[in-house]
Amino acid sequence: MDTTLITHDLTRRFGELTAVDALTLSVPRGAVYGFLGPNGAGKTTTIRLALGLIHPSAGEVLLFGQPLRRRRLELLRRVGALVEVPSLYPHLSGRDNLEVTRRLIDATKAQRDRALALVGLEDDADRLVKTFSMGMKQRLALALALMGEPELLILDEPTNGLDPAGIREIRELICKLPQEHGITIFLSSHLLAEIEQVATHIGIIQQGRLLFEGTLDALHAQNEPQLVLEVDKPQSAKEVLHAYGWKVRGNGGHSLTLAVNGAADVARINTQLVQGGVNIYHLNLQQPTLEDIFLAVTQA
Amino acid sequence: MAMVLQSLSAEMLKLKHTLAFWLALVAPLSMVVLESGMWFDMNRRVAPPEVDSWLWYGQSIYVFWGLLIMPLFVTLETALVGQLEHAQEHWKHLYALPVPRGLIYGAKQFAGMFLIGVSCLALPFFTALGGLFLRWARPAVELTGPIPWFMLFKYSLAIYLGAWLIITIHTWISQRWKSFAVACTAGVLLTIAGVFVINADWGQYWPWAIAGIIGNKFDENVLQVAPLLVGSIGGVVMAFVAGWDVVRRDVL
Ligand SMILES: Nc1ncnc2c1ncn2[C@@H]1O[C@H](COP(=O)(O)OP(=O)(O)OP(=O)(O)O)[C@@H](O)[C@H]1O
Ligand SMILES: [Mg+2]
Repeated sequence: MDTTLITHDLTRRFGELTAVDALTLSVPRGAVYGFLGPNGAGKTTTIRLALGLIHPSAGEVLLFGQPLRRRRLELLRRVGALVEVPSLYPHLSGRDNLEVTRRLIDATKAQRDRALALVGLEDDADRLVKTFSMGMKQRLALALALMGEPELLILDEPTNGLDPAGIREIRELICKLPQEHGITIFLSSHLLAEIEQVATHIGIIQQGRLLFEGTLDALHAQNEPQLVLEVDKPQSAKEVLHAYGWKVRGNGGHSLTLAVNGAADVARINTQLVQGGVNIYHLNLQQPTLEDIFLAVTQA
Repeated sequence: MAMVLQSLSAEMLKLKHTLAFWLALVAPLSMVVLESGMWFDMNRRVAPPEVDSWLWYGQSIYVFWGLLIMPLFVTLETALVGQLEHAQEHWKHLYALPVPRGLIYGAKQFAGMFLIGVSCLALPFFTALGGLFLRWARPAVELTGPIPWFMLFKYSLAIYLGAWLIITIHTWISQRWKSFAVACTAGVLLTIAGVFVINADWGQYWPWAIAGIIGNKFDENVLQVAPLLVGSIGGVVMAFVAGWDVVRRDVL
């Protein structure tokens, strides 16, 4: 598999605390990889390690198949990053902000203006950044990361602090980049709903450990749908279903829940209960939302 | 080499519209205004009879500048240049660029040296202007002789070179600690300490006193070579030590 970012047993301790704990992940080329975890899970620390900003206590980072430690500059040339808050100079114009970085990385003026156009800031480029809205600042920071035409874009909570309109702008940009420009995106967030709409791949991290890694479909498949029933005689319904080998859980009252494998199972259960003399008032097949799965994975 | 020039030009662009940039001119100007104001007030010959008034006037400005105003000004300028990056957490952005970290830090060091350099270049001109104003407005102070241009530039340059060590130390402090207050407090305390230690045998090598020691011999025209070398060569050595520290440290 053609990969961009790989970590092997990556570990980083801060004193007693292990912020990133033997993390092994791999980001396929062309993916939008959602790196998901609650606050303090170690997302930012992982990203700092991936960019060589901090040194690992153990393990290693590979970018495009090569060790970061030995070829940092050469590899970083192919990466654009936005870590936590955007780093902008409020007293300079949007264009001058890009210009500072342009001079450092020796990009062309055409690349600079193209990055501005890509994030839709060409008309506001000559205003001072202190007059920019949060959303504009975030887009400018994205332009900063995109200017060097990276193959891999690393974004740490890029929608933090934005209003819904701002979030949508960033999301649209994130969807556009892989399709139109072939850029792989590694995106961290603590909000599942946000990742769900853009990601092709998901990694879930908690307390520095990777709890799940795979495609969005694989994550869905990991959790079975649930059938919720309302019946007139819950006790005898339980007995009937147990006899057929289902795992049933009572929800109190007339309601029962059991894990099933699909619609065929629902029909079968229906027949079994009716034959067992139980009347069904209500029958509801629930696909767990990613939110449920996320909570199930992180609280297991 | 192109990379070095590029990073310097990036550094210069950041200074556009900043207080740091204007301070580079305001600091020497206010020094001259202060001293000239005192002479204006006295309205009589200030220099002893055997000393040329221009030398005495220059001496008053250069000592005060070297011992007090410049070290404080170095503190403030480097702290402002540091805040430029700390305020919006630029280090993580800068050090994740495909540019050697040493070069990024070196450009910072250069920005400090450039700003202080501008003010040391401006000082002789402001001093001359102040003197010319006094000659016109207060003939009694007897600034009648020719302007000692060569002396003014020579000692301003010597003070500048002698200050390299503190520029380096304060550049490092202002990068290493996020807080503006830490950078400023350190500078104020170390500068004031200079005023007290200057009379000790080793006092002339106290980094914050070196520029004052050099300025103090302006009227006698005795160049203080040892402190000058400690200040300038020490500055270059210290810059490499600071760069080494910055390059290997985690960027948090
Ligand atoms: N410089 C540091 N010194 C000590 N502990 C740190 C440092 N940086 C991070 N940590 C700790 O490491 C853990 C992981 O932090 P990290 O910032 O990587 O989490 P995160 O997943 O990015 O969280 P958030 O969603 O809040 O941004 C936290 O417990 C944090 O307190
Ligand atoms: Mg974080």
